[in-house]
Amino acid sequence: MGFWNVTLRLLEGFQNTCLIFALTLVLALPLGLAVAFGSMSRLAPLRYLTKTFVWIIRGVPLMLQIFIIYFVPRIVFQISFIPRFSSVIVAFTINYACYFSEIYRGGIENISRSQFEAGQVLGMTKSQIFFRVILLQVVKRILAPMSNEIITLVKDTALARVIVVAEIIKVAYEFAATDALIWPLFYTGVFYLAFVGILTLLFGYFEKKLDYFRA
Amino acid sequence: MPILEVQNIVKRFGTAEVLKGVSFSLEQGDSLAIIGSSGSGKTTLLRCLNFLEQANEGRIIVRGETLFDASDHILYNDQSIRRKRLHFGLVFQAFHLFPQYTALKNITLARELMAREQADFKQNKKEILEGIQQRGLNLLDQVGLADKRDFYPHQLSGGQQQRVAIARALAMNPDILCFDEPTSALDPELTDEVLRVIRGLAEKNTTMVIVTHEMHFARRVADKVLFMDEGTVVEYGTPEAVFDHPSSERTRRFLERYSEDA
Amino acid sequence: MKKILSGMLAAVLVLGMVFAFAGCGDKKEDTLICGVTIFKPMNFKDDAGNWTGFDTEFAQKVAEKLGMKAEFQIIEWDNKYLELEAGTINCIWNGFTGWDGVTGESATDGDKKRSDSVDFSYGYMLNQQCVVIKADRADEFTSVEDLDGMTVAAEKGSAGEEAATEVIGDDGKIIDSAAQIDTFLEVLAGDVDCAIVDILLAQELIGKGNYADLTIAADIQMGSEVYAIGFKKGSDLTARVNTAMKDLYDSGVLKTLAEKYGIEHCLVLDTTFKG
Repeated sequence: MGFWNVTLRLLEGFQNTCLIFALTLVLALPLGLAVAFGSMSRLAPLRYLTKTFVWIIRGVPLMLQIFIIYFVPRIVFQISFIPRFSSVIVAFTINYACYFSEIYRGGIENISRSQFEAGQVLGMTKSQIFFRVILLQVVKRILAPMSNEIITLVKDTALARVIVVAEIIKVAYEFAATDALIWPLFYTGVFYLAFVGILTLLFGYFEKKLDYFRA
Repeated sequence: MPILEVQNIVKRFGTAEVLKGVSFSLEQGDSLAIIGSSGSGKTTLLRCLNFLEQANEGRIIVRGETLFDASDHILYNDQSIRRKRLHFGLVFQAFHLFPQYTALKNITLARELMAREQADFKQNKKEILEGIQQRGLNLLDQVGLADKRDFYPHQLSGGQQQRVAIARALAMNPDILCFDEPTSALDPELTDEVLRVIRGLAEKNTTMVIVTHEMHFARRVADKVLFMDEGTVVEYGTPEAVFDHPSSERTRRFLERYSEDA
Repeated sequence: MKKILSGMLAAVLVLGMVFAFAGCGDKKEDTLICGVTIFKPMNFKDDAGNWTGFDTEFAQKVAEKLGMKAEFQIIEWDNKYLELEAGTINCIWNGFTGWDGVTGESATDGDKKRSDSVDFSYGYMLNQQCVVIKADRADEFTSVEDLDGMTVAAEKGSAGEEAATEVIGDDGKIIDSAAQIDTFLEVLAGDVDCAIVDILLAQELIGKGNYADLTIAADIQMGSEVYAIGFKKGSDLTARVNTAMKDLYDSGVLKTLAEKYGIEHCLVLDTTFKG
């Protein structure tokens, strides 16, 4: 197994890593916003329900959540049509939506009520105020904590292997078992570094883009 | 017919009664200065007029149309409140400009959003938006900031920001423009430029309700002065009447304390 | 605002459903899903990425006899019972140690079944535990007694771990690894003196690639054990597979297969734990 072949095989595993990352992001970003609104709701039962949910999800290791989502439906309810990959996506999405929701909540609550009222007295609708006035300010404020969380997500994808989704580290392990090669395992670090490097540049770019105003 | 009639407004927060039956009326083109110590309910009154708070009792009537009646149990939904609110404009103590928009865009944003609801918006989009833009520029010129159209709020001084905020409120063509202590957040050397703008509006017979601590300004600019204390109207009349011949002991004490401070 | 929120929620739900059903394969009665890990020479992938190995071909032949098709699902070895319970696999067929102490076809009462969580098939292969060490320390390992007091790496819950407890004495220490191949890393790192693993695996990998500096302690003989297939308790598959296995053994098909992978000396048919 030469360097080139190993790289190609690892890239296949890395595709899964990227797919878990991208799908989680696409699903958890909006879901997190919904959860954030739930935890700020004026309806006390909804608020407490949401907060309890967030507490549970943030309080339990993600690895255990992946286990529960994959195995519990099968063993307890005999529901067996949810494939491994979907289970991973569901677990990651729920988990990250909860983390994102707390970041959103911090960002939204910190935008003083006054921005909302300033829009109201100008006759803007609630959704106009949210999307035209509040959102960008929230985005600017949460960019730094979000980039932290998103970079953590890149590395958390490695947890998918507990239910045998072949992300890059899982693939690298196969070399140790089949071809007596250990170095591919360490080599995977390069892929993560490159990915996180690109994300860091991207976040830096956005930060610069939003530099033109102060929120 | 008065342009604004406020009848017996009562507002409670929990058990605390902040407004205990406030009534007054205002004629078209008049400016009303509301004075009083902090905690007397002035700001709450303005917020009730702008529907940022809903009064527990009382009525608000503009040009003979009852905008709000606490005894009438019609549902005040977001949409209807939004429409009614447009009779009033409000300039906040701390400006609250939208930080991500330029001075000009701060002024035109709400108008542009509203224009989309017009039936002919799609056909005449270009002309409509150009009209709004032109009106925004005129307003900026009126508050003396034509050269700052592309500046962001953080690039402007407090006084300039407040002047943009005034232009922003004017852009909606409110019947009555309200000010909530418009100069209290400003350094003393910046208050004049804002007061000058407000005086200019008064000279153009803009109907205004101004909550203020600037007694000299109130005396010079306002057509009517209303003194509030502990949620009630203590004194209401012309500046001369209120400042020079107050009928109430409470008003006198308040004014004395103020002249000592000043 | 409410509309937007419910819109977002709906979008998320719909996407979730799509994913849930996208991978919804039709699981047929005639598939035999074998839970495996990559374990040379039993189950591994060839350069083209296709499953091969002794257990792989063995399972395919048995399945064929039963009118089924064998499929291979990679599992985490730690979760093998969970996977079986969840029905994601029909059997654990991956050099799974069924019981200890058996030699050939003459089982004794003292044999110890290694798991009560499954029903075992007939045993089909004799395995030994062996000691993997750094090549430059080979002269320190000449007999089982040398292991007394040493630090040993073994896969958690494996036959190797059990063998280790028997030989290291009171002063020895066991490092639990997640997988047999992880124990090789421990030896290379020098934190442990040796690793105790399946000899069938060690013969495939030790001395090659990044394990070139490792060797198997040739003079140390450890107890032997038998590989069997694990089924869900009460499964009717056990008896059917046993019958097929016996046919394949008797007709010499298994011998040919074992020769292909160079492990014919280990092939047995051990009927100790029927059904």
